[in-house]
Amino acid sequence: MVTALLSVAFLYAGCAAERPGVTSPPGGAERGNTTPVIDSSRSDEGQQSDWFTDRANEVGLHFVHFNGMSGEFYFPEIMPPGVGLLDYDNDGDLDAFLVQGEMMGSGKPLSDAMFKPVGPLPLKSRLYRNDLEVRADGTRTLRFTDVTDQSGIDGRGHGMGIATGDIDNDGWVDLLLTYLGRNRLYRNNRDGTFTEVSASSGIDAPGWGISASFVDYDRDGWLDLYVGNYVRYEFASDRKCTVLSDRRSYCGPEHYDRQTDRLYRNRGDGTFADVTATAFIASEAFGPALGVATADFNNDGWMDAYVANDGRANLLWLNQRNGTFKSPGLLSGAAVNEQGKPEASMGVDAGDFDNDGDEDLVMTHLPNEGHNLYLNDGSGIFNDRSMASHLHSHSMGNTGWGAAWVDVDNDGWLDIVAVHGALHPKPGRPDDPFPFDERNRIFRNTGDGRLADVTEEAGAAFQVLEAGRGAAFGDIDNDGDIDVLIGNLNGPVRLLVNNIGNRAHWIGLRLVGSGGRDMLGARVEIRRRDGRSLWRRVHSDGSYASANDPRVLIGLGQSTTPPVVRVRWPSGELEEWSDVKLDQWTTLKQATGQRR
Amino acid sequence: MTLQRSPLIVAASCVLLSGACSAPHDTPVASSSVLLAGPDGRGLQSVPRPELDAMGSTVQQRVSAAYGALATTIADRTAAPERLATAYGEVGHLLMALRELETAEPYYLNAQTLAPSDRRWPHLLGHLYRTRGPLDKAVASFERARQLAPDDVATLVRLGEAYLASARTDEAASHFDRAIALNPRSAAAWFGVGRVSLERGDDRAAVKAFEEALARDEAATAIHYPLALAYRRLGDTTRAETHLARRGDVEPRPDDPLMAQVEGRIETALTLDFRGGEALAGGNWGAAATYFERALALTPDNPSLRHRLGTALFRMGDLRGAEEQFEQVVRAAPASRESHYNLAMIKAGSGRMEPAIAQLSTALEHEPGYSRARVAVARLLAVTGRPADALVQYAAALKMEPLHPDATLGYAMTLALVDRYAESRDRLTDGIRTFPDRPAFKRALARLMAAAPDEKVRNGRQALMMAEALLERRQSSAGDGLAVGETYAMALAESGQHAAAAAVQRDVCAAAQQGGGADADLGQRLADNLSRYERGLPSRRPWTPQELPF
Repeated sequence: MVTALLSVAFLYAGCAAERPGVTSPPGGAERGNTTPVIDSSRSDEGQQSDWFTDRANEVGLHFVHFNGMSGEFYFPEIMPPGVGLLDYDNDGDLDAFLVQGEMMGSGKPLSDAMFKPVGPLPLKSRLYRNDLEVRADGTRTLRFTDVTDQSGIDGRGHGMGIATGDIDNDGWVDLLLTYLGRNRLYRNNRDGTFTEVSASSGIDAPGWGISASFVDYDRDGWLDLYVGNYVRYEFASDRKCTVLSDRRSYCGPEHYDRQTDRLYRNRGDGTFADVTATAFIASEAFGPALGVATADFNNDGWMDAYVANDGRANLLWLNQRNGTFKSPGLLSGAAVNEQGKPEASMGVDAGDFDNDGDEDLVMTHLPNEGHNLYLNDGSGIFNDRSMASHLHSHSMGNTGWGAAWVDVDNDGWLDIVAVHGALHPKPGRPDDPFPFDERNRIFRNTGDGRLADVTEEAGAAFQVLEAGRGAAFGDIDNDGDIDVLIGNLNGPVRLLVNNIGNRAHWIGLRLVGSGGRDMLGARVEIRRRDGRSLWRRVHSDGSYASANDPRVLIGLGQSTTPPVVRVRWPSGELEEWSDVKLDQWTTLKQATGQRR
Repeated sequence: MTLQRSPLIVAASCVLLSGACSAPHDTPVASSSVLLAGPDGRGLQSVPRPELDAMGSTVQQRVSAAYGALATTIADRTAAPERLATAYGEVGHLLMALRELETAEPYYLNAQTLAPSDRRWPHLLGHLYRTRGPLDKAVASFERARQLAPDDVATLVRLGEAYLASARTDEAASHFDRAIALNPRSAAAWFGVGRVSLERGDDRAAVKAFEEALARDEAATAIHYPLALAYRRLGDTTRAETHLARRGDVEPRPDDPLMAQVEGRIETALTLDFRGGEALAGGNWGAAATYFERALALTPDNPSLRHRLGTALFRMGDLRGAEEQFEQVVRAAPASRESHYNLAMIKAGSGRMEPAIAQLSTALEHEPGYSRARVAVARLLAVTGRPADALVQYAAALKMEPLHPDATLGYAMTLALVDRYAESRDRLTDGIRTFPDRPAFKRALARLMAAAPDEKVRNGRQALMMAEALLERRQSSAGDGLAVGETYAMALAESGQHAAAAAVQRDVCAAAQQGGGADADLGQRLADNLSRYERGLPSRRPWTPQELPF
């Protein structure tokens, strides 16, 4: 096995070194020069034995995250970056947003960095346009172009994550960028550029935001915003921590005050009202939040929220249908693990693991905890099935961040892809300047309540050891399977292109409202002719600090019979389509189907 | 095999160690990438030299000595395998005690290879793998330990737990059952049976086993949560909620002398601090204080340790001792906000209000976002006759944390202290909706409606209904009972039932005296209201500043 760590070529620059795992673009190409292209087509299926292939470098995603570490072990340097998949230019393919950091510490010069930044200065989060070309014969060319400078997005600062949603119902996706500091909201100008509206919209409360979610919780037709906040942090009051052997490491969140999450209600006029103080019926305290997933967990037709807190009980906020949320607390079964212990929940996603029509939860944790699977009984009451499903045993020893329910092989059962990377320097490697690498994993749903660790079968892309953090999921080449964009702490971005999903049949749906907005929260029921149904949800949230493809891709296995597609829109209306074609992407517009 | 130090390590370590580049030092302790090979022909694996240069000096000496002894034993070609195993195991013990599990693993593996009939090595390897994975290795190791010591309850329980974590419930159950047969008093084994039953969906069996476990170890508060879940699944939400309220972190543990020996292998300030922290979490204040005192004997200048000692002493009721420790902390580390806060609480508790306010102000100077201190200073300002200043502090806390329950309640109650009764009522009404689990909001609103001088705010009938509801759901604590009783008396008086109000108030006064909970202010207030009720007058003072929440 050749790991990225072993293939590193180190350079010197004073006290700085290049990152482990960072290689130059092939042929010595630099950003701004020639953009390499690759073909990604169904015609080469037979040659692809690996489930996924990393093609970031080949397609022009030359991005290396910089975490600004200088040996001071500043807490925020270990948390980012998130990544995003979004179609900002409405050309039908997913573009990529990559979160960047900057030097950590008050007034610390870049020369103090342990690793040189890669790319032009000043460092910025970057937007890459997808120039996907699909030819008549089905072959396709995937290529990305860095459009940051013309986009109007000023992504400087201690970037953490991204959330996406169309806040003004104009059919063009807008961006929220979370920061150590004030978050930033960018409105899409519909011409390839964005305008920052953070202050004017009223969402720029100071803090440390990580994950966020756009959700229409009050069913008024406008996307509201839930921001998960972590802890109150200032460089001046950074705590110093060591492990038991007296070696320096990062302090945990328990050393800092938790920060209150925020709920902003969209007024529909470009502004948001902070309704945090009045919208929550609180039996537990907020935070520190790392992951946020919104879904209708109790099947009452109203959007709820699940918040993964780091080292504290997680929060399930059930929508009371009157503008408020109430937490059922520990009785929900989803706040702490089977033994009653809160865990270091980082990434989280909601999805129907057992195809029974409700939203189950997966969340990622520390190596001694294992990841969790909470199974929903349909009413918002959960049972911890981490051990029974084997997820616990498969994930022990891993530090989990971004994760999602995705049907990797389009067999109709949601699998889990989890991104891993250590939180503390790994012991026993004193000579390694960045000992945070772990292996990402795929857990395949075997359809009988269990998950199998199929990482070894997934190919070289899943043998690489890196410090993964954010992960965004979506069909980046529109070929009918889910690809994965991974943000590595202090390392290069990875684009794992799925080679196997579209060997099975599928349906791809974009669900939009009358104004063209992706209808986050809409639920799709695929009614198969054999009487069995699959349920999926339109969402861009979940995972960790990242924004996902809002479209819905449903694997149908070897079935060639078109199913009936039934959609429950966020407003509660139900519509049905019976003419959706297999193996292609289709847009379903609200009020154009058969009313049920 | 010796790995060469690469220039990169120098480049990186110069930043890590000093913040400036310097010539590489090449002392033996720095060359931590050295792998120590075992004697040929014994099937041993090379072991990494522990990261000595990152360790504190005491630890470094202990580990270095053990490592040196191992090297000497390896060099001694006449050394018996058991002796060599012990030498490997000793380094493994130290690393295990320091939670350096990855590094400890090969030492224990070599010890196991050299002394395959010694149950210590597979038992400790089982613990190591159970902590960090993989679980199949934990199972294999504990199985091996069980074969060597079939009747060891700790091994059986740990093996059962490893099987359970691996979704092998049948094997888990058989080992927990065997442990119970050997030691029916083992709460850990009963706990395991309960968890297996829960996993299988046999909730009645789970309840029975968890109750058995609790009967054997009441202090094991971690049993309550899964027990609550089992009751929930049986539809008994009342019992479920009762157990949820008693939930804690203390697990039932089997007696495990091998692991205990390892954990006590190294006594550094950090390991003692760690164990003290565990004792604190388990509510064992005396043991916690002892650990912290021993740790401070090793590093007397450690303010964090001293703060924790102060906390343990405070919990034990030794306020003078606690204050002394916190004073030392703030002298050594003036920005230690928690010590300032604790000092303020001790001072306020003994009537030294202005010094307490000053202490909290200092904490807030160092960290303006410290909402706990801001709420406390607000209360003290109100208590000392400055309610307007208190409102400013509460508002600042709420701006930072809109859902801070004490700030919300304190703000609402302080509004009444500045005669803004209607606003107080509205805030309390919002608070009841936002914090339904906190009866203090309902109690305050009932009192306001019973005793506010503003007649537009008063509503005796509604106050009485709320007070009666509170009486029904009264908490068991004496303090809460007193507060509810006093509220009820106020509501009765406002409803014109003065004799009944006086009778209730007399009961409250008696209870306060019996419980010893009546300080001078409270006693005077109770007496004043009693006097009013006896004269056929209602109360016109919903609360005093002393009743604002901390």
